[in-house]
Amino acid sequence: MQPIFRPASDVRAEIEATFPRLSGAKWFSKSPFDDTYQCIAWAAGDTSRKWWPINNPPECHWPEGAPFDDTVGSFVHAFATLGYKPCSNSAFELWHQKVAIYATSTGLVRHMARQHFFGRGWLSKPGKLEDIVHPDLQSIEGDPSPNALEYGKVVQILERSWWTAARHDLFCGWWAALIFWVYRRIRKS
Amino acid sequence: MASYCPQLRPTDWSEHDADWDWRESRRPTSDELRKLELIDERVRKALARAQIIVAEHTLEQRFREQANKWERETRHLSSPTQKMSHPSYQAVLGMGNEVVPLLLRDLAENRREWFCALSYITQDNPIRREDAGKMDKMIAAWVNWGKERSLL
Repeated sequence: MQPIFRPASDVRAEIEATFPRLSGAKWFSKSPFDDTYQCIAWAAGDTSRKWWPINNPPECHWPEGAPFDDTVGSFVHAFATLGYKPCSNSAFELWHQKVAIYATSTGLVRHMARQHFFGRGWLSKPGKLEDIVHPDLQSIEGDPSPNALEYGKVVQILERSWWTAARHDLFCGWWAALIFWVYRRIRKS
Repeated sequence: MASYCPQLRPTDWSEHDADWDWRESRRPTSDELRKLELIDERVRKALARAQIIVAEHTLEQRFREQANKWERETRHLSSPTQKMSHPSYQAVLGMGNEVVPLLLRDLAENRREWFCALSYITQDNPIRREDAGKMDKMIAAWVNWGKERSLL
């Protein structure tokens, strides 16, 4: 599927209707509408496929050896294959790359976000919608009940050194960022 | 109170003769019988065809309504399990085998993710493990599966 460039007003209206806390906050869209990847893949720097621990049918990619369930432990295990380790805070640290896991009150994962390279907020890919940069982790939090169609609360932060990132997928993420930057230039012209 | 219909009096009522049979009053000719049978057959066929069209139209309408609602309310979500637990997805699952051609067509045209529903209803899965998560390849696999079975 070719990425779809929607009018900025449509994107803003849909994102702010979905995440009311973003209304009035400083956030911006970073990519076109694209259904080829979603939040977990984007947190892992992969824009070619979707990631999720679902095995029957094999609808999404999931790292080998990681358990096939929606628990936080399964996602920690999967991201450990990319060099991430649990950490205690989400503050920007120059020598670390961080990701955050959102989950329900029952511990079922709903979303992941990745810290901006320069610490200017967090990168999220809400489902099929455009990638966004939001100022903080709380701005897209929502009802943590398991039946809600929201992301729940941040329950776990993971981090890895930039050296580890360079050995795994850092350049894939940069490549995607470069492609989206070119897309945005073309769209403006 | 004003009455707009002539009232029936008990004396107006009369019972039919119990022995009288209207079919005996005039027997239809064999030609008339043949024509009646032909009309009867045509009416039966038309009714059967109309019932199928109405049922299909209703199923497609119901599917479109549920699919649009599901798309609208879950497209910001990434979790397939969260999306599948939506009432509209469950309603589509409940439509049974008849919905499979609609699912395949919708998957091909609108790229809505019906992979789990298709696997659940058909008890089949044409997606190769190495293609897991790759939308274009997964859609192509199901579209080919549907074409092989003349469902598309």
